This record gives sequence, C-alpha cells and structure tokens, in this order.
Amino acid sequence: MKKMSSSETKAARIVHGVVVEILYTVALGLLGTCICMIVAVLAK
Amino acid sequence: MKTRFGWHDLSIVLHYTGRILAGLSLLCLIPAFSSLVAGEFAVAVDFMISFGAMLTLGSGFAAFAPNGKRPGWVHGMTTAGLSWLFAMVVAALPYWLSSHYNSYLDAMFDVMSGLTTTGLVLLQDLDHVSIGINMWRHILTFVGGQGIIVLALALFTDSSGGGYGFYVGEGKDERLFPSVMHTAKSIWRISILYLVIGTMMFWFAGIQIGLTPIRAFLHGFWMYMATWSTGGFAPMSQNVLYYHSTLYQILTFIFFTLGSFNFALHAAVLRGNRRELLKNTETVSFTITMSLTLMVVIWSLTKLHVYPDLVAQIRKGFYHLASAHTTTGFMTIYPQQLANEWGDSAIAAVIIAMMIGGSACSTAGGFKGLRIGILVKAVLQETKRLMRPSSSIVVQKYSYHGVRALSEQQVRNAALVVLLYIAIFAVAVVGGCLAGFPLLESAFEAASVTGNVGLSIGVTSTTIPAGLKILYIFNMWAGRLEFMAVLASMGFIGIFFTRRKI
Amino acid sequence: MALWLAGFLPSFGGEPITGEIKSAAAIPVSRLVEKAASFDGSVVTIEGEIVGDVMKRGLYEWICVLDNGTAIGVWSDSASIYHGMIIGSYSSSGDTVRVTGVFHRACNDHGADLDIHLRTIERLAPGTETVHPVQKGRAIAAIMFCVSGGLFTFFWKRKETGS
Repeated sequence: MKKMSSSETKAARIVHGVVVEILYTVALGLLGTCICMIVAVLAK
Repeated sequence: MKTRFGWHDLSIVLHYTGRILAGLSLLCLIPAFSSLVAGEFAVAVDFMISFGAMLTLGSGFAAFAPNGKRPGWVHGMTTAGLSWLFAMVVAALPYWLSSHYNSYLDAMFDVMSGLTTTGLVLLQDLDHVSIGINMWRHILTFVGGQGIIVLALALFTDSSGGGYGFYVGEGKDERLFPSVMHTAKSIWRISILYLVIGTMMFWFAGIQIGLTPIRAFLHGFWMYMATWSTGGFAPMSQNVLYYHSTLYQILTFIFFTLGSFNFALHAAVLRGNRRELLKNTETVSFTITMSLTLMVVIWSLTKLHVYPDLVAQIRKGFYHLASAHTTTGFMTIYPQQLANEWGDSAIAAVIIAMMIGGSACSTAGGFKGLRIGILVKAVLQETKRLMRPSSSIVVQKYSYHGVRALSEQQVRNAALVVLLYIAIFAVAVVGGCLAGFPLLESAFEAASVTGNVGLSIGVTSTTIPAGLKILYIFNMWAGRLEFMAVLASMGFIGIFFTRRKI
Repeated sequence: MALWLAGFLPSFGGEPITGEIKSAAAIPVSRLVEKAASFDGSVVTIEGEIVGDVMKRGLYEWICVLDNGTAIGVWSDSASIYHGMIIGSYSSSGDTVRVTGVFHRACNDHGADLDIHLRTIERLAPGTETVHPVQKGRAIAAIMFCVSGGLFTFFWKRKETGS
C-alpha cells in the first residue's frame, strides 16, 4: 500500500477533524432534542 | 517601583493603534469592490471615503508617533482597548454615509455591536440596504469575532515584544503555539477553513430553499460569517425567520456551536486529538449548563402551551436557548413574542445561559465555560477540604488540554472576571429600569449586551436614551475584551492625565 | 416527521374554509405581532411592500411583506401570485400590495413560524426604481482622502525605513 506523504496525512487529519466536530455538534443537537422530548412529556 | 506614563508611552500606544486602524482601512476595500460589481457606485464612493479617512488617521498616528521603544505589557493592553474604541468611531463612517442611521451614535453602536459579535441593530430599513453595507456589517462581525488585534498580528509580522500583551488584551490568553504571531495565524487558518466549508453549505442550502444562485451565495457568505463569529447579524430584518427553513436552522446551529468552541480545542481536534472534545472542561460545562437551562425553558413553554407540538418546541425553544448560550443571537421569533409569550422562568433561564456564554478564546461572549468549570471545581475543592482533616492537602484537578491542578490564582482570576461581568450587568439593568423598562426586560437586554449575545426582548431601539446606548456600548466593549484591556486603558489614561505615579 | 420536513418541502393541504375574519381593513403588521395570540387562526388583511426574495418551494412560494418597519412572511401557492412582481431592495421600492390570508402565531406547517397563508393578493401600487446618484462632493472627498491616506502612508513608511 502506498504510504501517505506528510501533507496528505495532514489533510486527512484536518478533514477527519472537521467531520468529527460537525458530528459532535449534531450529537449535541440530538441530546437537546431528547431533553426536549423528556421534559415535554413530564411537564404535561 | 513606581510607574508613571508619559508622552513616550502614549506615542507607543498611538503608533500601534495607528497600525491597527491602517490595517482595518483595507477591509473597506472588500465592500467597495462588491458595491462596484453590484453597480452600487454611490456606495462604492462612500467606502472609498471611509478607506481614505481610516488610512489617513491610522497612518497619521503611526507616522507621527515614534516607534523607538519596544511595547510593554501595559502598552499592548492599552492599545487593544483603545484601538477598539477608535475602530468603533472610524468604522461607523460608511454606516453614517449610507443614511440608514438616525445619528452617528447609532452608527457607532452598530459598529461596536458588530465588532464585539453582539448583533443588536439600530440600522433603519435593513431590507433596503445595499450589498456594500451588508458586506461591511458581516465583515466587521467576522473580523471582530477573531479579533482585530489577532488580524493585525497575523498580517503585520513586526515581531515586537509586546505582542502577547496585545493578544491577551483582546480577551484571549490561549497560546496555540509558543509564538503569538503563529497563534494568530493559526486562528485565522481555522476560521478560513470553516469559512470555505460553511459558505459552500449555506450556498447549497440557499439554492434548496428557493433563493437565486447569486442571492444564495451572498446570503450564505454573510450568514456563515455571522454564524461562525456568533455575531447574529442577518441580511434581512426578520433575521433567521426570513428563510423559514429547517435546513438553515440546522446549519446555523452547527456553525454557531462550533464558533463558540475554544480555538485551542479546534486546533487539538484538527491535529488528531478527538478525545479532547469529550474530556475538555469547557465542552463538559457547556453541555451541562445548556441541558439544565434547556430543561427550564421547555418546562415553561410546555406549561404555558406556547407551541403546538414537540417539533415547534425544538425549533423555537431549543434553538433560541442554544443561540443564547453560544451568545449568537439568531432569532426565528419576534422580540415581542419573546416578551409576551415565553413566560418569566423561560426568560430567566435564557438570561442565565446568556451570562454563562461560550468557551474562552473563541468568538463567543459571556463569563465563559472555563471559568464556570473552574469555580465549580473550586467549590468541590473547598467542600473536600472541609470534610477532611485540617492538615490534609486537597488537590483538585480539571481537564483542559491535559489534566491540570487547580491553583488559587486561577480561581481568583476566574472569580474576579465573573464578578466584574455581574457588576456591569447590574449597572446595565439599573440603566434599563431608569429608562422606563420593566425589570425582567431590562435584565434580559443587559445580559444580551454584556454577554455579547444580541437576542432582544424589544428594549434596544433607536428611540432609547443616548445614555443607555452609551452604557450598552461600554458593556459590549468591556464584555468582549474581558476587562483587562478596559482596566489597562482606563488606568493608563488616568495615570497619564493626572501625572501620578503608581 | 412531516412537520420536520416542512422547512424544505411544500406545504400540503389547504386552509380550512372557515376562519374568523377579524377585520376587512388592513391591520398593521406590528399590531399582528404584538397581539399575535388574539389574531391566531383568523383571516386578516395587511398592506405593505414586497421586499427580499420570492423563494419558490415546489408549487408554493414565500414572499416577504414589509409594513412600516416590520416584515412578515407570506406563504402562497405559486398560482395565486401575480407575475411581474417588483421586489424592494436597495435599487428599487417594491410593489405595494394588499394581502388577505390566515394568520398563524405559531404555524403548524412551518415549524411554529409566525406567518400568513395567502388567500388573495392585490397590487395597490407598482414598485419603482430607486436611483442613488454619485454625489460630486463625495467623489471629490473620496479622492482627497485616498490621496491624503497615500501620502501619510508614504511618509510613515519612509520614516520607518529611515529609522
């Protein structure tokens, strides 16, 4: 398998990092959605 | 050793302030160019007037103030503080020339609101504003989010020794790299990376929701800049409500949450340290405080039957709470609806979220999650100390790019800044009440201004007294710079004019 | 799920035929917003200028009506909107229209947005082009400031290289 150059490794790390960060915020959004669901049910 | 500041110190401060203003003048060329392309020739002329005036003032200061002495810590901090005030005065010129403002004070208010990424607006008739002015508004908020000093450090590589003082004076003390110049460049690289990604995503979303490709690009570019900088400006008067789009709301949620994260956290994750997202004191404290305040908001909205169903509660309740906590200030409801429909407990929770704010060394405002985390850890440490024998030593740890031991100095610094935030918040609440607004509404607007949020409950308008506008400008400025540069500037001017030694 | 998709799918289903008609006279949009609860679900009439964009979403579209500083979104099927609409912006003032429709404080179809679902639209006055001529005085000021900025910068850089 062809070894990645350092710039390719760096680019891959940056892309991976961006994707991870976006997924983290999506996860925060889902957490907030779950909290909304639970609290709305309890408050009724 | 007693300190006194003389003309030589003032000339150092003015010299560097001049360099920053000269650099800021170059930003005028962006809206000037976009106005030319759009055929708005009168607007392009206004921006060339502003460019020339800012360049004249900036280079005048830089030329006539000698640069023989290396700037010290105080020079850096004072320059950071004063350059923001000078920037507010000169950057208001394009606004004033546009005839969309009732007074020059209103124009300065909007500049400070943009630079501090607050997002409150006194501009009249936003829906008829030129492309050039909209470009200027959003560029100011994008540059202000990163910091005008950070921009200057990134671009003007004069390796002066006082660089760290300038950097810290702008409310950042996180060094991504040993060199502060390198740190500033890294902050901009991260921001530009996300600018490209975010603009593309917003552009695509804009076309999906029915905007023409050119309008979708412009709106995407502007909305991305306002979102990442947690500024909260929007090109239309209805703010995010204008788009009537779940997709736009999701994208703004993603990018304003990311914008509220510490740049050091971004750097760590982009270097491959993904675990930091989960372990970091700031992200943990943000998740906890947002969850707690969200529970109060949703409970209140459900009890009052404000929204018809769960989806509506999420799109309104959760979205506005997140917008408040990240100190962005985007709204999909009218300020009057917030005042009339949300109820006191939901509004109180939003006030608390606004005051807590986002992460340190980010584009967000408020106390910052790190300080909340430090103070909570300090309370735990004290509790442990009480429970254990008096001779025992209690070491409290917290996770922040590695495990660190909590020190008395850190607790003291965190408590002092939080106390100062609360003090200027209280003054703004009293100011609002004196201007005739009810207590809760005054508190809401005061929190919005002090935390650089930009959500409005209807207090901020062009008709409020000039004194309240000036008070709000001060709070935006002090809150954004986190007091050090403000105290340094006030101390420097006081010592200079009274010729005292301290 | 259907409600969640409301942001980027057109709204299906029509409005109920019956709806209390609050007033045949135009109501200021600011008053609608202020007293949203009392107007919720009613047929209302507003007058204002079309601004912003016509956002087409399938067979439907959003228009934005600005009335004395307060704007409101109006949702309509494309067939109901007349052709040749002039939209207000920097370079034009938009058509002045009279819109009648059902007002929603928190629209079920549109993620609880405050909006009006259009029934009828009538153009009261056509939009006009707004001219912003370049003022001679400002053009001269621009040249003078740019020249002075250039001179001061030259003087500053020369002083710096000299020292």
